[in-house]
Amino acid sequence: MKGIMFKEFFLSKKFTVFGLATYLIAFTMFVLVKLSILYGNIGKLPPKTVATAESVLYYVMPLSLALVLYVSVMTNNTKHDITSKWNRYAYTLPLSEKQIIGASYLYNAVGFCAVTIINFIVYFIALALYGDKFDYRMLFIIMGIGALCFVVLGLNKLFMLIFKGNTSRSRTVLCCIYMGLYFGIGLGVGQYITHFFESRGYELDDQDNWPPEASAEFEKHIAKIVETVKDNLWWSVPIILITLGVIFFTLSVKALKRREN
Amino acid sequence: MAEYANAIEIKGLTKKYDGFTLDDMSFNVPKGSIMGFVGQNGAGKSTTINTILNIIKPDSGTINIFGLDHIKDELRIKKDISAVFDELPFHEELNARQLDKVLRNIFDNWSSETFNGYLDRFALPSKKKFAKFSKGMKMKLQIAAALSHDAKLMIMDEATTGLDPVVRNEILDIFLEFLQDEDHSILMSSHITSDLEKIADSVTFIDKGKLLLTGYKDDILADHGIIKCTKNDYANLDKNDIISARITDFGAEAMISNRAACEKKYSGAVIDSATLEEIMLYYVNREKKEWS
Repeated sequence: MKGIMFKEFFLSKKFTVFGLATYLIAFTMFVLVKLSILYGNIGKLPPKTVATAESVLYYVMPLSLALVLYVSVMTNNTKHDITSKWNRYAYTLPLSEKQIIGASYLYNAVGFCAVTIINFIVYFIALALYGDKFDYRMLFIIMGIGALCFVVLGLNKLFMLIFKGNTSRSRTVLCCIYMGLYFGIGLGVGQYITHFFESRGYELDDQDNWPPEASAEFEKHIAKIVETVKDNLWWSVPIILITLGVIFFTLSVKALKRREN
Repeated sequence: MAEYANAIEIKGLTKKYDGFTLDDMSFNVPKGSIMGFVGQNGAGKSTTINTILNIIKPDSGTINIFGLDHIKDELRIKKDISAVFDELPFHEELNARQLDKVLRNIFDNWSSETFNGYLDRFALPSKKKFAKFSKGMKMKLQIAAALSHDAKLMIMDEATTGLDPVVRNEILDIFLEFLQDEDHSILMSSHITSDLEKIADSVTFIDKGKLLLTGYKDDILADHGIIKCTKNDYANLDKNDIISARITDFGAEAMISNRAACEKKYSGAVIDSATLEEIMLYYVNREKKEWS
């Protein structure tokens, strides 16, 4: 298992160094832009522009860039396993399927922890720069999105194994799943919003917009749901993600055990 | 591990694909020997090897390695097996030093000293990425890795194909060194029969998924021969004695599989020794019986 972990490490080394360098440059820019907002020219731009710049910096930097790099590194490793015919060689090694998949999940978990730590460090720096107070929802969001990436990587790996390295077929099926989820959720949310407004007697105006008071009521409604989840059901998120992780792990082991016909 | 006479025992191995069937394959690789596994491209050599390595699931048949079931005792067996493929299975982004670290943590018996010794012997750089290696270097690297964990059985799938004669000879010498230990065995698939003629103790011929011949190389070479005669003389030969015959403008060359009996039966006829390549060629054309 340790050997496979080393292999993952060596494969991701170059990409990780490149990713960290990119991250450092982006982070430096983040600090510089914030300083410019405070003391320089950017602060002189229209307030709406400054607010947009600030929210992009504040949320994009701590929440997404490191995660994008993390997902890229791990996906790259899976791709290398296929292009190098390593998967065929792995069958000749004295390792069980559980050990092979387990090692890559473990490495993935190490990546997740590293990214979470980086995200928290950046978040605390952002707090210091903005003079904000610690919002424990960010704890939930940073770890939740990271864990979601972990699970998505598990799903990617699973499909690569199911299609025995047929990357284009695996990519097509995954795209269909993600697009199905994206449009399905979008459609579901749209229907939910329409139902919410109609059930409360709101009507679309001449320009097909809902009245502002309807939007305000909906925002309150969502905030209430978020509060309920945050206070009472927060534990369900890690449970769902862990369950998905365990399911994908088990299915991946089964897919690897299923020999080529 | 219990005592065993054959490193590999295959009985009734069958694997069906659309348009190809590996049909009821049975042969043994005796312990301490090197077996050449011969057949033209698409004959079923890689399918057989992949089945032995449990990369492919067979439809029926049994495979015992070191006297153990190749599926039930897979992990135990694989500690003592090394596989060499026609293509480098290691990531091209890695270098030999990193590969050493990876495999050291996978094989209990891995020896970095042995591995580095082979790297020096093969003049392979330890810090250069495999992507920059030539085909010969990649093959040498695979062999260095295969020989560095004290494996008792090496299974090679077209390992010498595409290599120049100098590199092939160098590699064949290494295999002979490996066989100095009488516990070591090799199954080597190839369609370069000259290599097998040099080093193999036994040979298995397959064609279109069917086993044609299996046995000790010297016996096979002694049993087979080519009768060179005129077309008229060929017409008088008993066709049951002939595997197939090449008919040319100058006469006929017929492959026989019972040389001693034919020498008595056709006294006065010139019966030349056959090479493994010729035996393969005449067997492949056995259905046509006569070819030019």
